[in-house]
Amino acid sequence: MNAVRAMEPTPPAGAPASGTRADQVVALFREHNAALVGFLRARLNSLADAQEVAQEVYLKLLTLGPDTAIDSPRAFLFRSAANLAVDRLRMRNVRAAAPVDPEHDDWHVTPMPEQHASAVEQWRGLREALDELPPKTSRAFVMHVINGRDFASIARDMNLSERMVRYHVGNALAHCRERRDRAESPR
Amino acid sequence: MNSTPSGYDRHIEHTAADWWARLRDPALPEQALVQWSDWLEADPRHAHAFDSVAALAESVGEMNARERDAIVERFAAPVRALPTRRPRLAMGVAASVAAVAIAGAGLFLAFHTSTDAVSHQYASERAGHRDIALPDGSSIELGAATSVTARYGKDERAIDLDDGEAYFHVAHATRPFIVNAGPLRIRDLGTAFNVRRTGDRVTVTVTEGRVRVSPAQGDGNGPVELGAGSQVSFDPETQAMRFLNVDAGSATSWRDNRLEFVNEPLDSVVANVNRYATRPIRLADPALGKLTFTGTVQVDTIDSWIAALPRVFPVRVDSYADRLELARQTSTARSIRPR
Repeated sequence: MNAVRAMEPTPPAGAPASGTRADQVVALFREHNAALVGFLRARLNSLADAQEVAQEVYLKLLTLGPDTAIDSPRAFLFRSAANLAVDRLRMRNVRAAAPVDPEHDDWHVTPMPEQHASAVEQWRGLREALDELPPKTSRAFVMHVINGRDFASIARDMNLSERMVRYHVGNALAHCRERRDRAESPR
Repeated sequence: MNSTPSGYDRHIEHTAADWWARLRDPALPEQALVQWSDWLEADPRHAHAFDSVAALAESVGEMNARERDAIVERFAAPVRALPTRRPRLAMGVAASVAAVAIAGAGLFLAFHTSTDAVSHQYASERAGHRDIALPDGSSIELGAATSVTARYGKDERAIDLDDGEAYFHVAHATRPFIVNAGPLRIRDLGTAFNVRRTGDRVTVTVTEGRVRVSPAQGDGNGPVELGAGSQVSFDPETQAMRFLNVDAGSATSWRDNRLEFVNEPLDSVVANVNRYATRPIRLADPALGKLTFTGTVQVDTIDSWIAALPRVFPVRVDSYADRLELARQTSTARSIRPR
């Protein structure tokens, strides 16, 4: 996994060399970095952002005072990551609230000409995959992943439990994934 | 050996997608994150599957505005009220394939055709059973939170048991009826049998007739034939098959809302009970999963079963709003792993 290798922790030059704590943090990252980046990737729905925030977590843990007691390092790691992810999402919302030039709304996906055809193809596959699902399943998925609405608000909207919304989103994702896999694998 | 049974891969992919959705929930308890990293680190295929579902979600999230609007309009139009309480099986796509009858209420998850087989996936909900009538007259009863995929081709009738428990009643036909349950492949020789799959732990019990059981991967143990009243369990830890003569009724007791276990590891028992539990049970310490349990769980009184566990095991039950947790009873703990 590229993510792991890219994030293989190498203590930054300026980091305090407080022996055991730094060693502990490095070991923690070595062991759980993939899970950390995966978690952040889901929370932020962006691998690039996940890698950045994972770096922030790493620095935060390295710069903790030596008197900070950490009883369960792994739980602490994820708790710190969850907090920093919230900050990141908040930052994004602030940016999103700023007026944008509608002409440039597509800036991040402006396709290269040769990629365009495959992009069209890709979304047609997604539409077909979603068509094969029960309406509630595809609806929950689109509301969450495309409209970016959280489970609680979708649950209210669709008169379902949050748990069921989550279940639909997971199912839809698995189905789309399976569908794409099948399309890609040569027969 | 780089070929794995497709049913197993699908299981991993589904679990990965389920984790992605769980991780999206900002209220996910901290304990679940520890389970998350346990799962991810348990097998390189897990990380691989998770990467691919996350990449898919990410690409969908970055879709350009025009395409996004079209998809939202089609699948999540803001005001159009969903037709509530309409029978679940009357899905548009399913209806278009009138040849295949679907009975019972449950979730209809996926449908697709390939060149030689029609494939249908059926799943039951947590705590719910579901009866499926197959087009050849065979039937499947699904226990709770169970998922199967039926692929009826020209040469065989294949069923993939993705997870959970099911009772198969097979109509005689020239095409063999085959159940793929992770590491085991069960070929029907005219019969009724029960299969319980918990990850790669699979138990097959024959209630009528005979079946032939073989490893999904063609090495190791040859096929074995089982008659009524025999049971074979595959243990993923030892990669061994265990044979027992059983009361065939006890393996299908789940149909009467009882789960019966004989020398079953506690983690497998908990996974099975969780298919029925309103509040899932978690093991705070994975080592507890190795304890073996023999006994009966009434699925409608799961809470009292859990409450009684500390009397037979060195455990304590911690109750949370969204789960019950079994922790090692500290007063009798001998070796607690330092964390």
